[in-house]
Amino acid sequence: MIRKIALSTLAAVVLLFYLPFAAFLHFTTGGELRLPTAGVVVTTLLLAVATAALAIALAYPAAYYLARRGSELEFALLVAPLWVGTLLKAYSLLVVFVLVERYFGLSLWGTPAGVLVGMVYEYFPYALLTLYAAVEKLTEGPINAARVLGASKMQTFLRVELPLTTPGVVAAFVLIFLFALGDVIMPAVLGAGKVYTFGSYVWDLYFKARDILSGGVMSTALAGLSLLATYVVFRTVRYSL
Amino acid sequence: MGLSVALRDVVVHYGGSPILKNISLSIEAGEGLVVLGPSGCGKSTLLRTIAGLVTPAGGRVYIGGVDVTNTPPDKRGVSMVFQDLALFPHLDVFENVAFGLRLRRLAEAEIRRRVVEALELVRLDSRVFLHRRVGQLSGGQQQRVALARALVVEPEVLLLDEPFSHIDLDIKNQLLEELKMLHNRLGFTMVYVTHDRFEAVEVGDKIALMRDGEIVQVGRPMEIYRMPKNRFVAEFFGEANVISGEAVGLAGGHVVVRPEDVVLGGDTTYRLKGTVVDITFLWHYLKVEIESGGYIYKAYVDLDTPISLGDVVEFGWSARDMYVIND
Repeated sequence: MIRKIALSTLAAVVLLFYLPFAAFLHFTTGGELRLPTAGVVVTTLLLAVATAALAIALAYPAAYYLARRGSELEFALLVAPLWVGTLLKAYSLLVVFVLVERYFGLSLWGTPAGVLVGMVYEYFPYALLTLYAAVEKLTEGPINAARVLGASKMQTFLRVELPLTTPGVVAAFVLIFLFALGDVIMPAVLGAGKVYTFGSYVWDLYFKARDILSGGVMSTALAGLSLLATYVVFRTVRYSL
Repeated sequence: MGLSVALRDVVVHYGGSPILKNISLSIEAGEGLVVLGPSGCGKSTLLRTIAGLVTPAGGRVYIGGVDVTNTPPDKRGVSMVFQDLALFPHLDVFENVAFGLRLRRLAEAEIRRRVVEALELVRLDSRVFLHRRVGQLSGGQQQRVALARALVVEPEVLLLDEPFSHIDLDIKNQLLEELKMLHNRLGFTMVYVTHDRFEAVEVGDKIALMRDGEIVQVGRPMEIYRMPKNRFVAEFFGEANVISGEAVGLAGGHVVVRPEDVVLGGDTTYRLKGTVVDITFLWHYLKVEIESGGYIYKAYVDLDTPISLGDVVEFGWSARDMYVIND
């Protein structure tokens, strides 16, 4: 029974998700394959890496705090943005950017930094949830053992707690990196057309150039990369725990 | 030589309820003290207080005569073996044992020498085990790694929290034997916590009996066995017949008679008659339970004693084998 349900879910995912991307096979006569420029790829990769790193750097202390002595309310407040639509978040950030520009003279709209702020804001809850799960699993045993053996609180963190939560950090990194690679909305709204990423490129292929062949190939490549990365991450996480 | 440990009027609360109530205890340098008590009596908390993992709400803790009440655990010079062992799952055997040495910034060659030495001390073959992950070891091997990790830093005070509670009896006895030898040889002060009285007498020069957050009696095993302070001690530290004082002609209180002092037949000061209700074979003696006047008396007798269930027997004990307690 469970096997049947699982298989039909799998079939649905393949049909609804991977198949449309592969539609390019049907349009192979559509012309030349249009590859993105190196600039687009580099911008996208840098943004994705920075987003993942920053989101984790911000979420780790928060997850650590929540797992130790945080209240349900604090947890809810930090995760709440997850349930707000991305577009809404992007526009609310625009308002913040305008205020920042007026009072601090710092211009974020249309800059990579602005897009980065938006993507970190967007993916922070994912980092928080993933890291929370990892930190929460830490038992006091090894921590106490390290302390008694002569480790200060900082040494205990660096030598015991951080290594033991590394699988969570890796999982969070890959998760956010992949999300960020395909992000369309934040670069479009906050980048104001000046920060051009892979997501925007695919969007333009489909909806501006009407080049289904190239759009399909690009999306499939991205989906394949995600699949591979997810597989690698889960293997690593499972092996190390 | 180890350092002395002393607790003075130590009080520990947890979530409003008292775990330790006014504990005062002195352990001499190099001594091996066992803290014995039923689960939940606060004995682990006592150990954690000495280690600095628990901060007392009142009282002082001294190590080597120095007040360490507010000293963090990493500055106390103690070492500890934990009940759940608390090995570092992300490190191999070598790095687990080397952990404390690395923090002391020793040279790599020195670390290596001492880790191998410590593993030999606990009889783990370093050629085989050095680079195993701790998850691949058996329970007994993990216990040895935990012990080596605690010993390698050459502690003045070694604390052990029921370190051998999850392993087979044979290996446990072997490890207890080795621990005792190490203690004699290396001379550290040892505080060993357990709920098992058999383990307690194996390792302890001295035993402190705890109940409900208080220390009930401290002494050499023989003293406690012969002269228990109250009914709890008499029954927790060995088997005992606790008989009301009136039954033997006293004004009040109780008397304690150990089962090996109960004699079948024979010419004894106190004599009773009863029915044998149970006989248990216990390797080098038989444990016989005799019902008389509403009491079940326990007696240890020779294996070849001609006795069977339902027998009506005469039994008794001498006045000198009887110890009077007040409650």
